[in-house]
Amino acid sequence: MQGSDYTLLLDLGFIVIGAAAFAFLGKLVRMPSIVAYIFAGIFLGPVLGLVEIGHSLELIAEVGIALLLFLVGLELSFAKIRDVGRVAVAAGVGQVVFTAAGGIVICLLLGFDLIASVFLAVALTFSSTVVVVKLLDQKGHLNRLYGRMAVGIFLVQDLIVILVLTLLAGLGHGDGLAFGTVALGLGKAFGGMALLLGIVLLASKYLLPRPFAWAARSPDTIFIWALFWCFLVAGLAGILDLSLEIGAFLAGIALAQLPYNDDLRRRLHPLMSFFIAVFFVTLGVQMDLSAARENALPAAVLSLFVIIGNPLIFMFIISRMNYSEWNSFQTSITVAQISEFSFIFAALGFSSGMITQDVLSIVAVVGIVTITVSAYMILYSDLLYRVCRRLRILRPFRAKQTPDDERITSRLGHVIVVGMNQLGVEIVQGLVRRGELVLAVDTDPAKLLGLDGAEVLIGNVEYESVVEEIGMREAKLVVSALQIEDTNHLLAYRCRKLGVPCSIHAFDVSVVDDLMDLETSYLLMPNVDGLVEQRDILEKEGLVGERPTSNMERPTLNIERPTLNRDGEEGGDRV
Amino acid sequence: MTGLAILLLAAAVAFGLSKWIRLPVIPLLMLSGVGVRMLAEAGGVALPRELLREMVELGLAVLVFAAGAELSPRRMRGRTKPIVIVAVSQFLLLGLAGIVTATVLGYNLMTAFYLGCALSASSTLVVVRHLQTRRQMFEPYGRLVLGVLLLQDLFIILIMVALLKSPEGALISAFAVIKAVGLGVLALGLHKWFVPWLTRRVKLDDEELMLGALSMLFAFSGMAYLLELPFLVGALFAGFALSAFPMNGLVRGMLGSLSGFFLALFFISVGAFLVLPGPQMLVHSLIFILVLLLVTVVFVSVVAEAVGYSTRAAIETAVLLSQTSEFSLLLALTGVASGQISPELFSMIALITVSTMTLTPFISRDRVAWSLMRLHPRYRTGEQACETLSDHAVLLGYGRAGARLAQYFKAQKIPIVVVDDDAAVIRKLIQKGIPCVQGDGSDPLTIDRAHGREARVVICSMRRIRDAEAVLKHMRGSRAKVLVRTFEPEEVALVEQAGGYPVRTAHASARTFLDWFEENMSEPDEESA
Repeated sequence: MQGSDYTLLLDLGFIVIGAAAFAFLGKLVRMPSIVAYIFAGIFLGPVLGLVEIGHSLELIAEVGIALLLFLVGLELSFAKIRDVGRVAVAAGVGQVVFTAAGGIVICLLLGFDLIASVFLAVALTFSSTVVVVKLLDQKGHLNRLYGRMAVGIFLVQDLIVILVLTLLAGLGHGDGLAFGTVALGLGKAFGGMALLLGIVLLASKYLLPRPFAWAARSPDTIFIWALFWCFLVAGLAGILDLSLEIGAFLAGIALAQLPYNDDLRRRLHPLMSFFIAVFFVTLGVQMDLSAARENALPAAVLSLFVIIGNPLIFMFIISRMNYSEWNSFQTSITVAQISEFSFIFAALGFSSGMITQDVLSIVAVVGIVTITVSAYMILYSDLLYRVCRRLRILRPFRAKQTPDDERITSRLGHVIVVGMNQLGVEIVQGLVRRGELVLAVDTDPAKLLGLDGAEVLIGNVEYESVVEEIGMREAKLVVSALQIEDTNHLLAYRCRKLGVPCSIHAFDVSVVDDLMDLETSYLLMPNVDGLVEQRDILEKEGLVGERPTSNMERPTLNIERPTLNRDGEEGGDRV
Repeated sequence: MTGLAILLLAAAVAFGLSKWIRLPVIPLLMLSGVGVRMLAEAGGVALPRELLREMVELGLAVLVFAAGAELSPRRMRGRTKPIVIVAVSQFLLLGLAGIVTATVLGYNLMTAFYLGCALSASSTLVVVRHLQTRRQMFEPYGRLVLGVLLLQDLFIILIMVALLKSPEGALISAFAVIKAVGLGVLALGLHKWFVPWLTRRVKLDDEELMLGALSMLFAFSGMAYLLELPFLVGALFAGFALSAFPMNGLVRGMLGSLSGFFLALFFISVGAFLVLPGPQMLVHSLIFILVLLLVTVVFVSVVAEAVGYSTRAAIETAVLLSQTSEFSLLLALTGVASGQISPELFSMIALITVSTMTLTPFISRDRVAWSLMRLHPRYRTGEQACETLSDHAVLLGYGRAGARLAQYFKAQKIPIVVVDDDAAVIRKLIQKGIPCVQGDGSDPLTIDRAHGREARVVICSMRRIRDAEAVLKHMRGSRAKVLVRTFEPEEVALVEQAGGYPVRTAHASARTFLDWFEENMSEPDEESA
């Protein structure tokens, strides 16, 4: 550890600060964060030359990709994947064929030679799994039907990318496009995929459930084990010449069948966000825009082809498969950009001398433009859909107008009870007996067993994503039985911001003032209530003087419980 | 990616073992790291040293930052004076003990000074994590410990900065300290004004919060680097800047997952770099560990009790502070880099740090505190008034409710006797003139000293149900009724079977809450129906 020049820390520092600065500035123009990160990278790299991508930064970026796909896998169950398998294969393969063909024609018309046209067309064909998944995650729509369809399509494309890269490697080795080489490459790719899928399925059924159930009560253990599993399978995928994305995705699927996949996903999310931000910035750093100005026209034409042409091709295919117009449109919008593979593919072509610097620059410009525009398109897809309908652009596709069968859970007017210690359990049971809709939340799955009549959720309410998932905004009341000062304060703060009443466990006198400052409606004070219970027992058993009559003043314990009533007025119960 | 997978495998093994054999995870992570190195050496495989070094740097920055985010001065409200007294006493006493021990063992003055400073600060990382896991941040001793850590971190940072620059002269050294103070003042300003303002004015989503928080980390670390200060100084101040509520709460979830990841990688990497010092240094390490434990446990508990904490809280504070700090490692690294201490001494300090961090979860268990409490002198004055008592009330355990119960019984004109094992509590009761017996409330001899069997009621407020069971067993056949505070349904059944009266605290509280809910949260048409 001696003599360190802290290179990684310095580079990461520039990247994080740059990403944060551009993200905050981008917020002013409602720029999606991904776009902001890429621009940050362009600023730090090509413009200022402050950051160079070393091995460690590449590793961090790869970790981001792996975690992102791992989280996608965690979201999906086998049933959900089977739902969209057919459309994923059909749309994925169909789009590759049409886009490649269309791309070659356009490039030839623009004056490129055949090799350059093929490279450009292939680069335009693939869409970015990472960009789209990140945006859908931001929208909270990864679990929607169209989100699953999009993910399925991209993963099919990832398989095709592997075949393409295999072919390119074959060309690079001088074997050319010999039948044997191609067949071997294809065999390895499909065989590897089948083997990895088999391993993951077996692990999911026989290997993982028991150890993870044993570790479930220790969030740190399950967190690290999940990470290890992700990188183990990603590593296996690498050994089988498959992509990191496929490995991480399959690793996630294996764990998606477990009951704590949602909690795992929430815990991993911040880690993924950090690493993926680094990925997008490094993407920007590596962009080569040196010949951009001279190639503006072809770049513009090809960008339009991707932004408009790809979605149209998809819309045609998916609407033919009897999905609703809305779902078809939403899925199609997601393919309006090129992939990070496109850059890798172009870079490989350039280094092997098959394409020129101009072509490389065109790919870079098309990448920036399409990622930027498609990010806006995805985030504002509902508005775009309404505009397209008004302009009757979607009519020719004759898609089904009735909505697809999709169950979306939402809660309203429920009572959220956090912390299933004995107090929490008693409150849940009491509320259920009163006919209230109750959602019980705890990080320990064992504590959520046996709560009949109440809905349960494994999660940590410190995470914003959990706050969204439990529908705090729409709750009637939030109750915390936890004995954790910081979490209780944060809950009370969030409730105040959302205008939702809350009842918080004031387990010690030192927390009362802060909770009242946070406008807690009711303080749960078991210490006080226990004293009152003791007094009642003492009186009932005749252990303390006479029982008070209506004329007598009842001896008090001299404690006041502060409360806010229904109208938000302060009061107090004296006991 | 393979290197990372191997590190995660080592971490997965450590965490699994930790859960299985119920040992703390940090030493197991370090052992895993040692295991990784040994396996690599045996297999003739080169360790990814560059990756490991970078994980140590990045991991340490994130961990110190996350720990700093927990050190909010607000937690110390109303306790500033005792915190300052305990922090300064521990720092000076341990430092002096370290220097004296080192001198006696034959080290030169500069080395002795380094050793003294390395011993004198406790680990923010380990202690904050321990308090969080046991949910004791809000306890009086938890707040005391956090305040002490905050001050000690400031002391050690300033000393480290001064030592780093000392070869360049006293003036440069002083200037470096001023720069560190300046950075700290900037952090304080952000903590007090900018961060609360930002939280009120700007709505940030999770990702923006995380990036903003990490930007703070890197910005401060960068400033420290530009000011030629150790980057960890910047990391700690960055965390401190964000420790104001609600910002620390908003970022805690995110920092938790980042911390968890880097904690694993950091300690594995440290373990991989760990080299055992020679036999003589090993013996010296043991001596320093013993000195640290003895001085901290004895003197800190005495000082903490003297400033008004209960005996139990004072002992728990002392025990929890009995380890050296991650800053001790950094201090040692600084010394090696400047040539003021040898690499072997760094290994010794690293060994002391690793060992004491490992010991912390063991020595801070309840039974250790109870055992140490028994060594405390007993106060018997309060027992004299018990001799003539009968038909009285006996309180087994004073706790938070004791004062109110005492007042209540006084209003009922019923004499009381309090039984508590905490000497400081007994001392206060004697001062108030309340009859009391110092001892374990579940011990039949103690109950008899309080004339429990002649009382009209015994109120049992002890933490463990098996203590209550012992009380009920001893009280069987007497006329006294025994009320026992219970928390779980199984405890209620146990108490009733043994002839006691369970005080169902959670049930009572839930009932009161449901009454409030009925009155305030039910819909008006439900009410009329």
